[in-house]
Amino acid sequence: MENLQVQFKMRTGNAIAVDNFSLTVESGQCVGIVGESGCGKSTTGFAIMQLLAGNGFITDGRIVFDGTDLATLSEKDMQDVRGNKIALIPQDPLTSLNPTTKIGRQVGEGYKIHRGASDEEATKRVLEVLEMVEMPRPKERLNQYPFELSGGLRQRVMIAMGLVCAPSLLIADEPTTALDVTIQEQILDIFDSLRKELAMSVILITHDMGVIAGRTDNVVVMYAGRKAEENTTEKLFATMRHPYTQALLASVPSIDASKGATLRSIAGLPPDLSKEIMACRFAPRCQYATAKCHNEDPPATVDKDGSEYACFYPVNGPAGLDEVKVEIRERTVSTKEILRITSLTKEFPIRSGPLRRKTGKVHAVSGVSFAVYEGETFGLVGESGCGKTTTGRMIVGLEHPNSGEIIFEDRDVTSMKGRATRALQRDRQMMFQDPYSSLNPRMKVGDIIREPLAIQKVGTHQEQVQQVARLMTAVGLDPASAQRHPHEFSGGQRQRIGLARALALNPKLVVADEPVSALDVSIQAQILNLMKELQQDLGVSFVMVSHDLAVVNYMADRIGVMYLGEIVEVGDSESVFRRPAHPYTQGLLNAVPLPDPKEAKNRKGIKIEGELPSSANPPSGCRFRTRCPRAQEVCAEVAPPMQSFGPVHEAACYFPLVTPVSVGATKAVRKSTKKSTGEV
Amino acid sequence: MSNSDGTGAPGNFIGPDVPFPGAESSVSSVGEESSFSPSDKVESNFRQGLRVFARNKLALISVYVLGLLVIACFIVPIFWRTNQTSLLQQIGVPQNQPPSLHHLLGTDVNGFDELGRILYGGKYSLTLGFLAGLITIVVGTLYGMISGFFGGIVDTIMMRLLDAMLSIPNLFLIIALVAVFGKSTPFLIIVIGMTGWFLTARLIRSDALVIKNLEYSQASLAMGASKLHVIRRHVFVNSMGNIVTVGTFSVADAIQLLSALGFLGLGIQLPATDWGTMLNEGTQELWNGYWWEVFPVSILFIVVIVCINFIGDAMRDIFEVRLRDR
Repeated sequence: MENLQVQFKMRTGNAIAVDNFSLTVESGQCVGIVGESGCGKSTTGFAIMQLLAGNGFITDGRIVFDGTDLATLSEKDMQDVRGNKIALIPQDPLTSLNPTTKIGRQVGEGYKIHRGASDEEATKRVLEVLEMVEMPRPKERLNQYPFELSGGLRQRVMIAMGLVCAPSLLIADEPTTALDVTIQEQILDIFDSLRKELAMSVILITHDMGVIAGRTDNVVVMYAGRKAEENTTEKLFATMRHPYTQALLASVPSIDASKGATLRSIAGLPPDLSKEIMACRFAPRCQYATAKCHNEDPPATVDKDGSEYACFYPVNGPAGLDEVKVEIRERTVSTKEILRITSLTKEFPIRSGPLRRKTGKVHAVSGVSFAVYEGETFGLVGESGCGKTTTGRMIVGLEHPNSGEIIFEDRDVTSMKGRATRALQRDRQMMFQDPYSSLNPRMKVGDIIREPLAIQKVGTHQEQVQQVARLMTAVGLDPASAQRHPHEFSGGQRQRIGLARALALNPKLVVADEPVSALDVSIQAQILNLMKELQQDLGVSFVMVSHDLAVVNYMADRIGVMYLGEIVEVGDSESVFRRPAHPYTQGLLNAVPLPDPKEAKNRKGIKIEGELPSSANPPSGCRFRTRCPRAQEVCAEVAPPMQSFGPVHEAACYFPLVTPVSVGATKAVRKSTKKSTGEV
Repeated sequence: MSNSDGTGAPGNFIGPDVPFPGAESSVSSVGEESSFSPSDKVESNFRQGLRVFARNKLALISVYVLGLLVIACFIVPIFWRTNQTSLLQQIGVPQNQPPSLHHLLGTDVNGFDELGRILYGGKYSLTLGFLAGLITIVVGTLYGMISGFFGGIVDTIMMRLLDAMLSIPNLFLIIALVAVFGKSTPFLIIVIGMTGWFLTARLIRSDALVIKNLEYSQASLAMGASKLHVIRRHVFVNSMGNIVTVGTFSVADAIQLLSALGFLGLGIQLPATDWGTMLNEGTQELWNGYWWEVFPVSILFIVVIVCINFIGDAMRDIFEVRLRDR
């Protein structure tokens, strides 16, 4: 690919989405493209496939594939290339499969078109590729519809579709973003082994530095449609030259990161590409920028390490600790419980038939107990479908538990109704995941933040408006923009609005449900820092629900690991992450992609196989046993009790990875867990 | 407006910072701290809406055309008097006259001036259509919102009831009711209104179902808001686009239905008239070559329906907040 330029025709003029971008992929190589959203990564991928949206055109440059320039091919010739020689694996496996077509036919379609295969030949080939992607029970899958498969399995089907004609180049556009870490690990492993077996080239497009680190040979960092830096993976991570690469890496929360440090974030946002930029595109956000950067466009430079970068003042290697503003925050976490939940269960009925009779139930949460102390952050982690969100919703009263108790501020709020709960709602609030659907698009931002005050009738209208202004300042928004609508704000700003709303009533507890999972890393860091800061100032407790262990590690004082509706391990984050007792915790930790190529490649240990079992019909005994490498017969019989592994560290496993404190003590702990899980 | 769009789909339609429709991750916004200078004037909701509406030229033309028609039907007859009320006065007046200077569109089977008749009938058609459409939208919205928001058993019962009513052909139901209870004008309005809201209710119900589960409604509940507050503040406001759009279309539907009734001879009774009734009379004379009794009124009728539909389209855009200028 040489000097590629892609333009989009817009009402306001042409936007140059990709500019002067060159990339070489050799056969058998895996090249990663990384960058924030909106920087042209996916556009590059689509441009190679000639699948740009209707208003997108390649205006300059060549895309040479095996000696032919794809940019000049006719649509008809291009059809021969697509799926046959180059395959694209899209981001979202849930919407990328035709829901009304059986898997077998869908995967075989391309083979029939390109190879003129008969139905039998196609079926044979489909079975072959399904086996290649390690699909469990491939024969059964042929006649299944996409809705019968989980997200991870669907992504396998997507990969199988890409592989069916044995292409020589595979473009994977964020192939694992929509998946759980455990499944992500499995899918990435498949990519790796396939690449080796089939000598296929892969372009891996992702925003996740961790995914890039362990899997690629070369990395291209894209910023605002341009190449910011390119090098081999190891050299790039060790001796990066472009400040953008450095900043991007510094904003990733790592599971080894020290607690007290404030995460680095990149201020500002990428430039508007519909305007011509005559300077370094990163200059407005760069901490090293000088007048020269703001006036001249830096040319691409190649240094002796083979690194290609576009910067006047290259940095050398990752940001050292001395450059990071380190603030050791001594936080006073009191021992006063603000929330205690005991053997909480929630079951959702499965209804079917014309009369919607109950035909079964989903055990979303079965017997969860933990406590949250004043001013602390309690992290709740686990794969999607493990019941962590449901638990959070029960805590704030959006869902009523089937049994168990929620004691909030020494009052049992489980069965409270009507007026009494309304007053209590002041003290427990929720922050939501999706910055788009969590704000009413037709309300002004000021009114959105004022809504809780209005509902609870706190103060006069005038006082409420003043409070809104204070809140907006506190979360780093200009109070003057209170008259604007949510669509005028970016994702990160919307999440700030959500935080301001959750804090409006000065609550004692905020349940944050995946508050940053929809944001770019650089912005994630800003929100996480802000939450920490405000917690420091306000003394509010957070229950942080997240699937991202690194985020939870950065935020939480104590952590509960959930699996299929049960807490399998609970403890202070230090113990849980450094000395995990439960194999599931260890597996989760191992699945987190590390933004360090050396460590990522050398990682060993427990890998979680397979998929989360159905919670309508959970396994007997220990629920994790079906995926556990240490499982034995006893695990299937009786569910293991909680054992103590330290003062505040407990896990439920017969064969834990570390030795329990003392065998004799176990029974005593078992009794006490019932009423006081995780007490100091 | 469709709600699924509001939940974070990447494709903003305008806005320079999102030049890659569907290409990036689910986060469409590009970053932080886009700066608003406090001096930026914030336009009121209403004015912003008007601006979006005015962008749709067809709708703007439609508004002018409809406005002219309303003036013609309601105000012109005050200045330009023709006899439309007394059949007695028509005795001896020549019937079925072709257009002439004296009668611009000729006269009809009773000797009434055709142009005056069109304006007079239009008054009935438009008023009845508007009132019936209003009933449709109010009843449909209430029914759909209650059903969708409360869900569960309430929803099941209300929706099965709706299915039962939908299974009876609309026109058949109206004819039966009119045949039993008579053809008075207020009764016609009520009958047409009360039989037209079924599909509206369904649409609003599906809106309510989606919106009540969106995070902002949930957030409101978590703040301790009452259900009524959530319905009013979130569900109603966000289905406004659909309500207004469907409302405009149901006015068109009601006018059409009224005309169908008139055409079947069940509409407004002589000496009053509406466009449907006029068409009914006109077609009986068409074989005699009296074209002026059919074409002008049918053309006007088509123009009105088309105009209302264009306006309805543009109304939908008004409530699509994201279509506004940034």
